[in-house]
Amino acid sequence: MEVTVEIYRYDPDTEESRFDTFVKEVDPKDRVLDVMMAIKDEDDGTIAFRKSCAHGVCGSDAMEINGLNRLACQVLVQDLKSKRIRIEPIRGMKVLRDLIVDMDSFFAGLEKVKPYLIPAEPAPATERLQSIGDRAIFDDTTKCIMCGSCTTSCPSFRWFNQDFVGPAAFVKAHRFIFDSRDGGNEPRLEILDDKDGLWRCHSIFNCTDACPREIHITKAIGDLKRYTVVHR
Amino acid sequence: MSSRGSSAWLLQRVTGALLFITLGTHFYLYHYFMGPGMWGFDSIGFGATDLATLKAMMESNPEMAKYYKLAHLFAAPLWKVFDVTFISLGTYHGFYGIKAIIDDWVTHDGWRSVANWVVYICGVVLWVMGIVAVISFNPELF
Amino acid sequence: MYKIKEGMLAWILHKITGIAIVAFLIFHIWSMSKMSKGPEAFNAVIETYKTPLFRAGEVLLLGGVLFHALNGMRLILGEFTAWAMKQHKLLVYLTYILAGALFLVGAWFMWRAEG
Ligand code: HEM
Ligand code: SF4
Ligand code: FES
Repeated sequence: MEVTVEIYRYDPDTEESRFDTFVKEVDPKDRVLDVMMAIKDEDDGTIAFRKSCAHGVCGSDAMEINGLNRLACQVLVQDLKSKRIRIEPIRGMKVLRDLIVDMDSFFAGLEKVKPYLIPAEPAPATERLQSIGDRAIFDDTTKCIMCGSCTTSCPSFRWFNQDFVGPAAFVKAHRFIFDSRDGGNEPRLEILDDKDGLWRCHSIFNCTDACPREIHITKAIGDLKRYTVVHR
Repeated sequence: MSSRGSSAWLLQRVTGALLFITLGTHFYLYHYFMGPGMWGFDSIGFGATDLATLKAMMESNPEMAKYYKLAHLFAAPLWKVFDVTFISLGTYHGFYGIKAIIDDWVTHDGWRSVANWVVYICGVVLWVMGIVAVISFNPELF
Repeated sequence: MYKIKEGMLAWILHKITGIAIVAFLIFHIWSMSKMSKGPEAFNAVIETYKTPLFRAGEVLLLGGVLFHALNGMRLILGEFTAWAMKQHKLLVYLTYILAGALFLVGAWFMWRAEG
């Protein structure tokens, strides 16, 4: 099938942006990433975008495709149900070039909620045991690949301001706050209960709709809201 | 009120849920009973007088019919307490809601607190106006 | 333009209706404090409520209140139960249907009544 691909271009030297249009013959079962690679190989080698694993694991190719944030390597052309494919960078972060955005502030935001185990007790002689039930509580939020699709889909972040802690950091916080082995909640709750924390989430569900790992982010944020109300 | 968001978040939900009930009652009283009204439905017998007396008064002076209905309600302590509660819930929830919208829009800390204080003051002024109106309304008819 | 999905549209409407209700609340308390000053003042204010423009506004407000109230209950339900979170799209549609149905009934009553 023939598709028209519109790709956002930004040149940092001239600070000008535009859309470049390519008409390509593709297989409906091609992934959008395949189409982009074909364009880069055959039409315009200067297009810049991030990708690595090409299998939905590394989280480097989140972009806005036909108005929704998704991984280019995960969405098939046929799933878009359109002959027009419009590809833009994820919004709310500084565009460095074409589809590449500056993720530094995003990762710094994740770091703030201390996304690592802060043991509640000194290391035992054997491993730290956890029941199957306790593990299941945070199973969903372990699946995050830090692609940024959720945070940059959220109006509280992209429309209003980027001080908002954002869904990805909430997912990370959930992963450790509800871990029975973890004891480091105080500093995390400090961030979550801040003026730019949980309370700027209005259950809009854009993040849940965008997450390529199908994490139920809004539910996780709801868990955190109730936890924070009880524990602070 | 905590400067942090957790208690305010909970209060916004609690007042919202309570408003769901009180707003329903408010609509029943002031838009149905005060409007077309369903005579013989005695659930509004909590007013100052009984419905038969009220009806007789309304028929003797149709010009004042609505006023009598309102007086019937307002002269009863139950509905005064109800209205004070309702106005308090409404102004708190509504003005805190506006404050939440400002927190989304305004990034600059200084402007944020200026805007927040404007909203708080407007809310308190309006609340006082509402409470005074309810308390001071004393039609001595019954 | 980012696609406006179910939850996003409901959120935009929740904000607009919230602000509209506050605007009405301000007007309402202001006019209430005028009409509590005795029968003459009361009847004078009631007279202004009878104009078609005001009545149309009231009917419109009913729609806003119904949506805000039901959508607010949906949001509260979602934040407190996992079930409502999982069913959020269904519940958004249900909110529109319920608010729409109640609006039609309420608007008919309000318009029929003599102000
Ligand atoms: C009748 C039942 C009501 C319920 C269940 C309800 C529920 C809610 C909830 C849960 C929120 C928080 C939404 C969020 O965090 O995004 C909210 C926000 C708000 N409410 Fe209500 N509410 C009700 C009535 C009212 C009334 C009567 C007013 C006006 C006086 C009002 C004005 C607002 C405003 C201005 C907001 C902020 C909007 C926003 O941030 O999106 N609400 N309401
Ligand atoms: S929660 Fe989902 S959308 Fe958000 S960063 Fe993690 S994988 Fe990406
Ligand atoms: S390239 Fe690794 S997730 Fe798409």
